[in-house]
Amino acid sequence: MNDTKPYEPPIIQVDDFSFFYGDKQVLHNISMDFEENKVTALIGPSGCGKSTLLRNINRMNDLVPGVHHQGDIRIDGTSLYDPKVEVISLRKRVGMVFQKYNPFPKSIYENIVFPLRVAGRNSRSELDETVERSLKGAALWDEVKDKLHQSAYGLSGGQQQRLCIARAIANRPQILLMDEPCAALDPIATLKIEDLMEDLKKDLTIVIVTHNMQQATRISDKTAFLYLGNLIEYGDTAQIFTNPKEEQTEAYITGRFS
Amino acid sequence: MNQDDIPTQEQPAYQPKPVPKRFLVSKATLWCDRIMTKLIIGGGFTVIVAVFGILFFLLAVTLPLFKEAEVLEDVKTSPVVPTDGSWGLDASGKRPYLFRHGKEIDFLNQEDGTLTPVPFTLPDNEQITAYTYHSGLGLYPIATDAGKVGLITVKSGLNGHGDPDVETGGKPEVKVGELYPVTESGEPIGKIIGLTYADAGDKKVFVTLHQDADKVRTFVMSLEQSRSLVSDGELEPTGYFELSEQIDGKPSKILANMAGDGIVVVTDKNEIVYFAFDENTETWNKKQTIKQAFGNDEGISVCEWLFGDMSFVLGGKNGSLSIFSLYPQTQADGTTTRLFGKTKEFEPLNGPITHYISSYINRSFLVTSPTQMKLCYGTTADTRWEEPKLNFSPIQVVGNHELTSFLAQDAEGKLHRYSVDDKHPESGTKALVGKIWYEGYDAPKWMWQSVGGTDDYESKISLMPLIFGTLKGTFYALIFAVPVALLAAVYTSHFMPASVKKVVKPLMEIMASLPSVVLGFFGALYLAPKMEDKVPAIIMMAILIPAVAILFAWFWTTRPIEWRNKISHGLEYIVMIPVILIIAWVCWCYLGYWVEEPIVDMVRGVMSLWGSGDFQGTTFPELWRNGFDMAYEQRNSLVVGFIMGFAVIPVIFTISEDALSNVPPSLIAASEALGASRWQIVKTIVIPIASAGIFSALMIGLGRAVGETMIVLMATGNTPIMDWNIFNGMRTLSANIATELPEAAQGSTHYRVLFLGGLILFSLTFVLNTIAEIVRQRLRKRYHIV
Amino acid sequence: MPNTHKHILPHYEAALTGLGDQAYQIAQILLVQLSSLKEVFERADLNRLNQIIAETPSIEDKARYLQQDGTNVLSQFHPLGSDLRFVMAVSRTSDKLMEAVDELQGIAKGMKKELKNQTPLFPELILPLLSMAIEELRDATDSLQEKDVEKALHVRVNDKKLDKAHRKALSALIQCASENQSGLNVSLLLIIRSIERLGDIAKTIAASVVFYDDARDIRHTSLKG
Repeated sequence: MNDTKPYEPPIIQVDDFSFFYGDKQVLHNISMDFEENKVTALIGPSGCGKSTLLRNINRMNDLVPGVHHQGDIRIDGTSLYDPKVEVISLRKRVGMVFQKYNPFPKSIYENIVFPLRVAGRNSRSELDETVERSLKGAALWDEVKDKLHQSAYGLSGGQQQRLCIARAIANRPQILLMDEPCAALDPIATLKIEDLMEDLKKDLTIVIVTHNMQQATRISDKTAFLYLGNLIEYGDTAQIFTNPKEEQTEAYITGRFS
Repeated sequence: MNQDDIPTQEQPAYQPKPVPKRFLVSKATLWCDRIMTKLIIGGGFTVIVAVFGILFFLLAVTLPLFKEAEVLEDVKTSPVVPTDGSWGLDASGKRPYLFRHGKEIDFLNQEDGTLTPVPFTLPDNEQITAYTYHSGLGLYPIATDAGKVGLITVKSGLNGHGDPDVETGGKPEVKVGELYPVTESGEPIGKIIGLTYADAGDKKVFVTLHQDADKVRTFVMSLEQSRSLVSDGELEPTGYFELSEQIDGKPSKILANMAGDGIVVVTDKNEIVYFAFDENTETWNKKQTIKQAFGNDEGISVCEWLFGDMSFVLGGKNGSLSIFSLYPQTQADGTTTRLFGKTKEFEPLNGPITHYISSYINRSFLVTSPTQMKLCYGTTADTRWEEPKLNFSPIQVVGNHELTSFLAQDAEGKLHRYSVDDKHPESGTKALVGKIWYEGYDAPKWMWQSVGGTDDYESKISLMPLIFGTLKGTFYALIFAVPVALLAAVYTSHFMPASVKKVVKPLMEIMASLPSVVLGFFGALYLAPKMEDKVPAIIMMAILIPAVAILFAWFWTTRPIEWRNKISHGLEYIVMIPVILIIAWVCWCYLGYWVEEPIVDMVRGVMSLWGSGDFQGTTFPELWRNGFDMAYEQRNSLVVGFIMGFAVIPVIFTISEDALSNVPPSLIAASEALGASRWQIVKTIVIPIASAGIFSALMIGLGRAVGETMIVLMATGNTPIMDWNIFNGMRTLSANIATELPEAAQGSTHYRVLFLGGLILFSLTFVLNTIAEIVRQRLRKRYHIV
Repeated sequence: MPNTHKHILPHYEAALTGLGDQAYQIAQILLVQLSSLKEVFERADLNRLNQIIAETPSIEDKARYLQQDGTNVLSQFHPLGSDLRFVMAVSRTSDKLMEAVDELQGIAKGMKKELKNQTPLFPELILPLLSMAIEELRDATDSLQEKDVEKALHVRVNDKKLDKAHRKALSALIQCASENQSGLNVSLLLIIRSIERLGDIAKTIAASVVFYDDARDIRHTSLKG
């Protein structure tokens, strides 16, 4: 009895993707499939291309002059570089959180509703509901619900980063890209954000670039190790960190790098 | 030996470890640091001191404009002198003289109070029946019992400073001039009881009052200097007139103006009759009778000319004081004639006006009542000085030519001598800022016309037209410059590709370095003539270019995304520029002309709805001049707006572009990642954060526009008018200073007023910059910009 | 596959090697004591036996110290991959060595009792067993120190032989006892069982070497795994 499921493309599919800054090749023929509702960590030494790969998923590299690529990245089966794709629309599907938290110099409320306002949605009830939902999703609601209209800059670092996460998920994107989101935070703030990633992944797919291997072991389901623009190993996190298959992976994670 | 006796050894003092050499700072570094600190602090202070120094200098030059008059009585010398006669005062104010008994003039020596009599005799033993004193000319017009009139000139022997005159060696001189009969026949008519004299250059006028039986008759006699090739000829009588029939009542006071064409008569009925001389008919015609000059039955006690003889000061028996001036008034039949009308009123004195003396270099005058003395200025109706409670009642008051000193004699004969120090009587807050009713105008106005052709010219120094002109120029410049510069800055910082930006920014710097003289020159000689007939084209461009650009942009958004993705990331200008250029060219060369006449007709049609549609013309300038009744000049504010725009745009552009580019890229990345389009990012994030810098840029551009001199000087008509009309000129404070300061006498009122204009400019930019800095700091704090 | 490069942190490298060396040293001391037991068995040297018993606490201390060191390395360096497996192997080894010290003590005390009671010790039965156990233990700890998987797998094989010999010895003892109609010498029984346990300990240590090498736990798999 054949019970084949209809083919569902992986949520993000990187297909033999190479990326160039001018003449310099930064990513070499990367192929990997990201799984839906999982946290995938990209690890590797500095300059290995993990941030570049991340930023290609929402085409943030477009404005850098002289870039070009080969191969493809597809989201839900549609190529990002399809001529019909409107970049702005892509960025509404794929949210991003940056290394240094960057809330706008506005109130907390206005920060979160920013993505809705630029989409033209200004109804008060929708905005209020989004603010509550996003702040709860970012584990920040209880701490700021009384000061929604105060400046975002009055919050602590960890709170500001969580605000940026709330802002990034306000429009309920499918995918959340996080570029070393905890690099500027203290350990407790870091753990709080890792905790909320556990909840977020129920609705989103998260791709996180991290330098912190303990963080990768704690929160990711799958890990990809990149080195010098090449994908060296990609697999389940537990396996990568206890029994990696590739010698280079083992060397990196144990600290036996030359 | 007890152990306790042994003194305990001192512990060696703690020696800190020697500092390794690499932690030490070299003396040179420390000294350099100290010197530079002091230099920099000194530099900062010097700047502050310099700025305040300029401020204090300007204040020092301009504050005298607001000083009050200083009138001091010289109490050391108050001689008691005879009262039987008419006192006169020489130019220096140091040698008063008394016209006594019709036979001598006694000069007062100020050291000892003695009188030096200088007698004079009249030919044919004639006796003086009437005389008056003309302090401006320093002479006594006299009338004799033979029915003749003449002049007795007085030279005090001192020059203007009170030193002995070189010519006369310090001796006073009295000279009796030629006597002329008042009537054509030479026969006396009655007894001359009063006279007045006017010196109109080549023409001299005598007006005499004759007591003939029970009537008082008025006669006018004019003399003119005949010209000969060899020398100035003698005075020849040229006219004999009688005005008696035209006067209702007995004349009590007569005035003749220094132009020789006007006579004012005050009658015992308290009426004022004005006669003007008609050159063509060679007659004196009654032009006007003023009844109830004070608005009630108050009697007239004083009626005298104000310097310039275009206005007279009227003093009443109840203390009222007002000025009447000659200006064009519309008659019932629609014609306009110059007649006298009340133009100024003073605070009444508490007693009848008894005496009046005026200056012969400006419009200052002094009036007295039995208990008061008041020094006033005619143009501004300003009281310069007051003595509200005199401790004597003056019976005679006389002043010198410039009214820098005057005498008041009380009933006991004591001569009170006063010196007057009022260097800038024509200035003051009212003159500089208020609406003044100048002579010859039909209403109070704000006017700037500081110099005129004649010595008695009434200087109009209201700064309001200049301030208005500055604001107008700035306004039109900014209306053009601000939108262009700001939009250009927004485009350059966030929409332009980097390769093009590299070219554009240096180009703007070049635009900033164009000297304003060159710009003014270009504007005046090239642009203004070109634009004269292109105004409809420009209006069309101003409407069509934005409209078509918006339309085309909208059209572009409806195109499929493949097209748009091909040309994106700042290259859109490739598509837009041809469209704009084509529209501009079409408007400039064709559309302007095609549209001109139909629009004029359309406006005519609209205006005829309320009945003003009948005006000549088919072109825009004609529409403006004839249809709207507004001036249209070639060198107008539109040209200035463009050219000043050239000067101001680079300033605003550079600073705002800097501010817009310095928004933290992390915030722009964040908004990009949230799916905002470029314009949304600019509108919601970039502009609020850059608002401090943009505001700064606007203020600096404003400051630049306010102070711009050469462009306005060259590209406008430089007329000091107060009119928002864009097709009209203006005169700004800065252009005014540039034009007039080279010719202003140092220390004069004119000079100081120009500096006041400079002070206003200085303060304006100072205040603007301060506000700009405060607002900028606030905005910085609000948006947490570094 | 374990990497042969050096760690970037030398003191990390030193800590790991230190753990291994410590385990090896403890094992060597233990082996020496066990060999001494063999001699005592042969020559009935009571003094030597007392000495052995007196020295056991110090070996225990060393083993405890090793356990603590292992925990410290985990918390300080958070080892991953093969390093993590190595530390876990050493940790397991240190536990097992503590147990081995217990067994050593048990054997020594039992022998002492026999010597005091002058009961026969049956050296011809016991000594070969002890020798085999000692060899196993030596092989196992050597394989850990040398990180030699082959040797470790060999230990497993040899242990089977020990099991067989052990069963034979037991049955011989029982037969002897029934022949002589004397009671079963419980002490001897316990000694034999301790020896057998020593073999198991060696086997476990060898299994941890295999785990370190390949992340496989062969303890409960068949030989073919």
